[in-house]
Amino acid sequence: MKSLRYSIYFLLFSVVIQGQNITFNLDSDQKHYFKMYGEVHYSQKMEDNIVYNAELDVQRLVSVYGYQFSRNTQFVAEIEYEHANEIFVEQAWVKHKLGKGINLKAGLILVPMGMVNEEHEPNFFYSVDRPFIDKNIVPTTWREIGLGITGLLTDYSLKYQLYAMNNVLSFDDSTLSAGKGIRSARQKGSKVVLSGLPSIAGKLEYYGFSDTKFGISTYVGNTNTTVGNGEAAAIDAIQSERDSSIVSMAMISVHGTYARGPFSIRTQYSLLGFGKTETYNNYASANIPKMMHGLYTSIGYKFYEKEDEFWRVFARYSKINQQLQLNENQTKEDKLDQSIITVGLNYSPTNGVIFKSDYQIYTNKAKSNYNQLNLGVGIWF
Amino acid sequence: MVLILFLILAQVNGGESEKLIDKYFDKVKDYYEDHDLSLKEYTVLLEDKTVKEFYSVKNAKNQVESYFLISQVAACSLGGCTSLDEKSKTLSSEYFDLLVILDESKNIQYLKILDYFSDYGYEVTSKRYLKKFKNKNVCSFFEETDGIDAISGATVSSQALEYTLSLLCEN
Repeated sequence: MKSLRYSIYFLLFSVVIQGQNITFNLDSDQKHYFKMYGEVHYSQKMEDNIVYNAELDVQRLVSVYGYQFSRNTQFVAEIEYEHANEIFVEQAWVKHKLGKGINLKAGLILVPMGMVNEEHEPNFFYSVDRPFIDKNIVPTTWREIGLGITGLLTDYSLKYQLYAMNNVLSFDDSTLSAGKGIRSARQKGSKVVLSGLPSIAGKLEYYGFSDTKFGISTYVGNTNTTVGNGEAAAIDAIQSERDSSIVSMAMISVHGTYARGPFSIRTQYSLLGFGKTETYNNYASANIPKMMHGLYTSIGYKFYEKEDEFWRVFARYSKINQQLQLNENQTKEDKLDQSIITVGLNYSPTNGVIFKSDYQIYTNKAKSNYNQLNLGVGIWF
Repeated sequence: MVLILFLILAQVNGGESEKLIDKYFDKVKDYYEDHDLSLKEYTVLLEDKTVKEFYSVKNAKNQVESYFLISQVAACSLGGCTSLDEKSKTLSSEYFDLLVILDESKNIQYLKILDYFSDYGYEVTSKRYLKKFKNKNVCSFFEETDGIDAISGATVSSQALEYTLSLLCEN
């Protein structure tokens, strides 16, 4: 195992040494860049015979800092305030160009999964909140510590990313669940537990057609656990407990976008599957299914556009089933099989500012249906 | 281990400035050879640090027969890619490398993105998009029209590309 690890280090260094020797003759102020984005939301849930308070929230305020060490080497960090009182590091990575079309990237990296996880600034998605599937199947903003390669194959109009990264923590203070998927189990770069091999994440995007882009993303690996850490490897009972607190996991997303003039359409399908769920559910008193999935399609139309100012209407249909396939003895929760219709209006008075409003209709098989009004303002500069 | 990695990276990037033409001369030469054009005498018309180099190429009769540009162009960066502001026109913290070859009347004969470093706005490298510039005159086209429609999601890269091309009219 040790010799394999050293071989990987050697291979990595060999590749790094082959990087091109071009210096970057920039002024000092051009080596730095600073950006911000943020969102403030208002949400009012409405359900028959139930009273809900409205919620107002500074959802996020994010500062983006970049530094260009040289022509070929760059550092980017995103520091995020969530809900006005939580601080997270959302990204912190170094990218170094190894050669044409190949870059080494290492650090805290956004998992390349679907459309919104990597491009989650408020101007990218039309609704006030991020799409439901990009929260509860793909746990945007999903970031983990990893290392890998990324680049463009321009002759084929392809962008690729391939990383080895830590997976989520399936057993500690929180566990996996049907309703939240892996959202609560993200390690977010904080004292990350790696109890086995890293997972593999990859994404391939094709942009060779006019105004159109397609992508496929995958993530495969085992979750991590704190059970049995520091205990003797020879004690079978402990190792058995450790195994029971881990599941194998695979996620796949396919997406497509089309934008021409004022018209745009985006669609994404995401499927998340788990293995060894029966053992895990028994051990962790959890309820994760074998599979969950979701699909959404958004259509947007800018009915007024003049210089940087525009008005846009949009509609989105989402279908999500967080218990697509269950274990034999698992109870079906009908409320986890739902569809969401979202209609809304965006107004951008100038580049960098967007006012959003939407109305959502949530229907599920348990008939515990509800609606939600959302208003928000987003900025980026 | 991390320290060693960073030391190696520092070593790799510690060299002297290199002109873009030194890096990409083979690409220029390939085009001229493939099209049976002369590349015997080329003179720099514009040299902006190490980020922009514009050359005229003369034939045996000492007449300008073509031009070529190798330039680093501002690209989209993380946190938004919607509009090219004045600062972005020269900001090079996110960039791509561009090769453009013009005929004697400054009509675009060849346009290729040699390398694209940024994670955003890479759709400008699409051959289908770049084909739209073929035979456009860098003086009249950008003065008389709104140019080629920017690619949605890659606006800064598209606009910076057009801005760079429009500069060639004056030089």
